[in-house]
Amino acid sequence: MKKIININLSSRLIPIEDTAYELLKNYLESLKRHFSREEGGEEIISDIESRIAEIFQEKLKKGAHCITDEDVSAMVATMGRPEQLEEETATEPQEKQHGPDEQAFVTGRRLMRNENDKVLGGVCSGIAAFYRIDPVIVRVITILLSLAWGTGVLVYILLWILLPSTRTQVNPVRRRLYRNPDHRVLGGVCSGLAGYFNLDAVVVRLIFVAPLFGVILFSILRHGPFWGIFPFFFSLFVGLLPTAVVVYLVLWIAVPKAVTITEKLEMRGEKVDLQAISNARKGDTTEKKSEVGAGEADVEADAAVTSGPAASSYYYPPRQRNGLGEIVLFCLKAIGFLLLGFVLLVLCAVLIGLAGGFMGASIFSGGIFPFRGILLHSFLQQFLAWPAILLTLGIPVVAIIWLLIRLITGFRPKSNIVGWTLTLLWVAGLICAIWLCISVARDFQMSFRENTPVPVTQPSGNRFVIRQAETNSFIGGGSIFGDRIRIADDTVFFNSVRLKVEKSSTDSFMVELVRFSNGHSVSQARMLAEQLSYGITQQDSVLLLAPGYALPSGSPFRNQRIAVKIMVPVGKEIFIGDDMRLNRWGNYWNNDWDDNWDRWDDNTLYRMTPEGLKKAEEIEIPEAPEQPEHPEAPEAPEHARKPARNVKYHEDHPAPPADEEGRAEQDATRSTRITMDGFSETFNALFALQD
Amino acid sequence: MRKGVLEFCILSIIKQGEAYPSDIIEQMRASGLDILEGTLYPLLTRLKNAELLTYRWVESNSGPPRKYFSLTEKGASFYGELEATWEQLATAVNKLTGPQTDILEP
Repeated sequence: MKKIININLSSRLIPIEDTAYELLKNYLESLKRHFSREEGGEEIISDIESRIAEIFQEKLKKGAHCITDEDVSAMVATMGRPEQLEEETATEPQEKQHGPDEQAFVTGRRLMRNENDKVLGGVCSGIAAFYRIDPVIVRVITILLSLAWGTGVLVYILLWILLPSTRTQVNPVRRRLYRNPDHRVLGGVCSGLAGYFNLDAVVVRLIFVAPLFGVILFSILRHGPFWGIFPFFFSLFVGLLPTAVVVYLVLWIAVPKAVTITEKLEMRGEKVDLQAISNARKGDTTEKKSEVGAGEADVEADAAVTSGPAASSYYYPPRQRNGLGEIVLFCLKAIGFLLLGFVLLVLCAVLIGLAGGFMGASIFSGGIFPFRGILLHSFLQQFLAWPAILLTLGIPVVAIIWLLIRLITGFRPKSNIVGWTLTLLWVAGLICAIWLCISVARDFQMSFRENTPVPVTQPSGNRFVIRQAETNSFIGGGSIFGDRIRIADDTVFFNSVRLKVEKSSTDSFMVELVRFSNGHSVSQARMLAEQLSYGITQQDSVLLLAPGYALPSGSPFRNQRIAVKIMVPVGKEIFIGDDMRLNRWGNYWNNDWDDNWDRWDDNTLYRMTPEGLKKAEEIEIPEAPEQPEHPEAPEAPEHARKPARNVKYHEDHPAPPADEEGRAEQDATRSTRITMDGFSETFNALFALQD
Repeated sequence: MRKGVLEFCILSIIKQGEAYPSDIIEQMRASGLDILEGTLYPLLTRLKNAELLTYRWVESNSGPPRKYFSLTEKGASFYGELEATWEQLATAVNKLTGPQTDILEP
């Protein structure tokens, strides 16, 4: 059973079998291809079409219902195939009509510009003919050279001026570079290149994607132990990545798409004759069938285009159909894909960075990943941690790689089992992560704070000097949050201690250690808080504060914090040492139980007044009218005049015992206080002083 | 092989009067010169582009108008040259390939 369709050939209505129509169409295509480079090619084609229509009409007049395959074959035998025509006509008249230059061009291979196949001046196609390669390749190379500081443009203009032009030359190359629309991932560039160089498309795609894979691979290896030898390759791949993208885009824009069967044959370097076209047609029956079977209206429209002088634009050489509009479209498409690719790449890099960071830290720095032993305490949490991290971060990476592999190999699985599996695993990972987060959050829901008085002797000279304790050991290890938390082996060190200065309700100095912790219950929070130990040492009037504190081995991290409260009686002074610098004793945990924390300056002498703590220098002048009732007031200017660093401390002053009762009222009486939240980059082993 | 000969034949057929491509083919076949039809159209176009031929559209009773070719003045003079060359060539070839005695005896 065969379908009969009506075509309009040279304004004649011809009923033709669909298979015969295909044959006819291919034959006409091959003729068009043959004559496209010749002056008056369109005219020749329309003459021939007209003649074919005549032959068919005679057949129909003789009583045939329609044109069959045999009729087409007979017609082709009478008219001759392009390759037969070439033998008889190609060289003969040219020699007659053209001068010696042109002959030399054809026979003696002179480098000339080609007027018949040109985009600008025919330089590229002339060069291509000289070396017998596809002009498209020369054009692409020219464009790429133009990107290198315009070299290509310069060379092109020079050659345009220098080379004579010719009209006669027909490029002898059979194999041409096209983009392959049938087996494409983006623009069919790789597939077309594969056809041109007789390679498998997968190989070409791999070459184009290799830099991307290289970058990804080395991003992972970066965390590995042998990184030392890889930076060269890494930067090589990083450099090649944009090159590959640019080359691809240029090829996409410059290389024409193989539309007709003839072009597809040329793409593969097969000889273009009716036999090959016929075979190729059988080869992609499915595609062609869908085209033919789409409806007679389509076919008729299609056929109408192929015939008649009105449709003459159809006969232009293929690359001229790449109008500006199409290139703009390509650019838009390219930009779209570029953005998509960029987003994917960034996503990939971020995910790999995250996963790699965790993995790298866990594998190569000794411990399991940093927080595991400290943050996660129950078996459930430990159990959930790995799937939560591996699945939520790892699955997207796997999915992106899988997608790339599918695109590159053109592998289209029938069922999307992999996709569903990956989705399920990712959702499972997400559930684990959420569960873990909830579980950990519950461990933080209760809090406990305890103030412990630290016994101090009253300093001589009514002045306390606060300094950071000397560091006598340094503990290396992974540090998080800048340098505030250090992790070594099983222990966590916090370089974060706060200093808070308040008004004492009595006439003596008092020091208090504040320990704070969260926990899943109050009793656990209390236990954790009490486990904290912190070193405060007094050397006469100097109070040495340890720069940090450690979590006891085996304690989980539950937001434990330490603050030192120093209560200064009115009229007495406190000197904040120059090693208590803010950039080290930063105001890190500042949203604590008290929102009224001020910043203090280091290397400064402060004096407690009834209004609160003030810098000694600032009190100097206004003091007399403000505080007439205080007997100590007149002394203040004397102290303030001294440079802070040169303050002298009297060491023979007897230290009165700390007054414990006054502490209860201190909150009510304080007005201004100076606080210090501190951490230090170096950290010493901590010595318990009290508790 | 048939360099120029084909053009010569076509021109001579057209010289006898306006001709339609199918007529030309018919005439050539009739005189035993069998060529592919596809060969003819490019030749005609080239001759026309070289201003040796011209054509006019003639309405046909069925289908689209046909192209009828005729010689231009340039074509006519070119045909004269071709004819002379051909005569010369034919005589020479005939002499060479004909009975040997004609040349040797005198």
